[in-house]
Amino acid sequence: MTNSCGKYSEKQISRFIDEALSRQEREQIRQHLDDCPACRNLAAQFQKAAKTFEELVEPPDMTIDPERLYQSVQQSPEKTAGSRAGIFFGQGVRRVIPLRPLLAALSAAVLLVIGGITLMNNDISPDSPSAIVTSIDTEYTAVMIFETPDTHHTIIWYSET
Amino acid sequence: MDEQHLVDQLRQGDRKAFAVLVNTFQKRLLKVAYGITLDPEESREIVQEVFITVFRQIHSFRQEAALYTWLRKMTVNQCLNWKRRWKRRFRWHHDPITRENDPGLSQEDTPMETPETLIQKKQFQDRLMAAVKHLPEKTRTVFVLYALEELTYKEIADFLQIRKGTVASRLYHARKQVAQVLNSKQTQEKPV
Repeated sequence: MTNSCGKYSEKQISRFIDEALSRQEREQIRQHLDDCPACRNLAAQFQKAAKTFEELVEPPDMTIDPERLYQSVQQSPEKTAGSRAGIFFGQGVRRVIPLRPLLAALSAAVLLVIGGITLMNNDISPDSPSAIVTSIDTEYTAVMIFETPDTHHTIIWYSET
Repeated sequence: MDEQHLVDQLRQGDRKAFAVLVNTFQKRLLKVAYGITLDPEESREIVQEVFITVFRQIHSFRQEAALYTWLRKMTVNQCLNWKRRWKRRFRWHHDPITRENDPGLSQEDTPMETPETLIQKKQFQDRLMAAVKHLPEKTRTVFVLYALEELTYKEIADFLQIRKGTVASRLYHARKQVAQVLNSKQTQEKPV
C-alpha cells in the first residue's frame, strides 16, 4: 500500500490522525483531504487500523480463578532472586563462589556440549515441529527442554550477560 | 469497593479483596498482555504473576497513580522481559506439535453469521495477526497502548521512557502494517 499522492507523507497523515501536528499543518491537511481521494483513503485506513486491532486482538476465552491463585500465593512463600538461585544451585555453591561468573561459565559449557551432541546425532532444522517440555528460570539464566517427534531433546541455557 | 478501600484490604492480605482485584482487572490486563505477546498461555502466566506480585508488594504501592496504572506497568514490563522475549522468539521459530493455542473459529460468534463469513472473518483475523506478529515488540507495545489503552503520545512516551517522536514513528509503522491487511481485504471484496 503506497500513497499515490506525494503532497504529504504517510507519516504526516498518521500524525494528522493523532492530532500531533501544529494547528496550521492540521488545517492544511484537512483541506487537502477534501480534494484528494488517495490521501483520504489512506487516512481512513489508518484510522481504521487501531479500531480493527482493538476488535480482533482478543485472547481466547480464558479466566484466572482468584481463589486458586490466592491459594498458590499462600502455599508458595515469597522467593527472592537470591533464594531462587540458591535453591537451584545449592546454598553452599553461592557462598563460596560468586554466582554470576559461575553461571556464565556453566552456560558456555552446556552450550558447547549441546552443540557438539546436536551436530553428531541429528539434523533438526529450525523449522522442525517441536514442543517445549519444561523450562526452569533463575535470575541470570534459563533452561528450556523441548522435544521433536523423533524424541530428540535439547537443552538451551542462556545468560543475560 | 472503591480503590482506597481495596488497597487497604489488600494490605491486610484480605482474600476477598484479592478476588476483587483479579476479577476487576484480569480481562483488561489479559488483552494488553496478549496484544504484546500474541500468546494466550504466556499472557495468562504474566497476568497471574502480576497479581501475585501486587498482592505481595502492595505495601510498596505509593498511590501516586491509579492501581490499574501500576498493574499495567508491571504487565508490560513482564511482556518485555528479556527471558520471555527470548523464549517467545524461540517458540515462534518452531511449529508446535499440537496447536493447542489456536482458538480456531470462535464458538461465541453470533448465530447470524454463516460458515462462509465465519471462515472469512477467521482468515482476516489470521492475516492481521500475522502482520502484527511481524512488528518489532517495541512497536507492537506502542500500538497496544494506543489502540487498546487509548493512551496519548505523551502518556506512551512517559510510560515507556521514549521520545514522543519515537511514539509517532512506531505508531505509523504499526498502522501501515495493519492498513496493508485492511487494504488487501478491501481489494478482495470489491466486485469484479
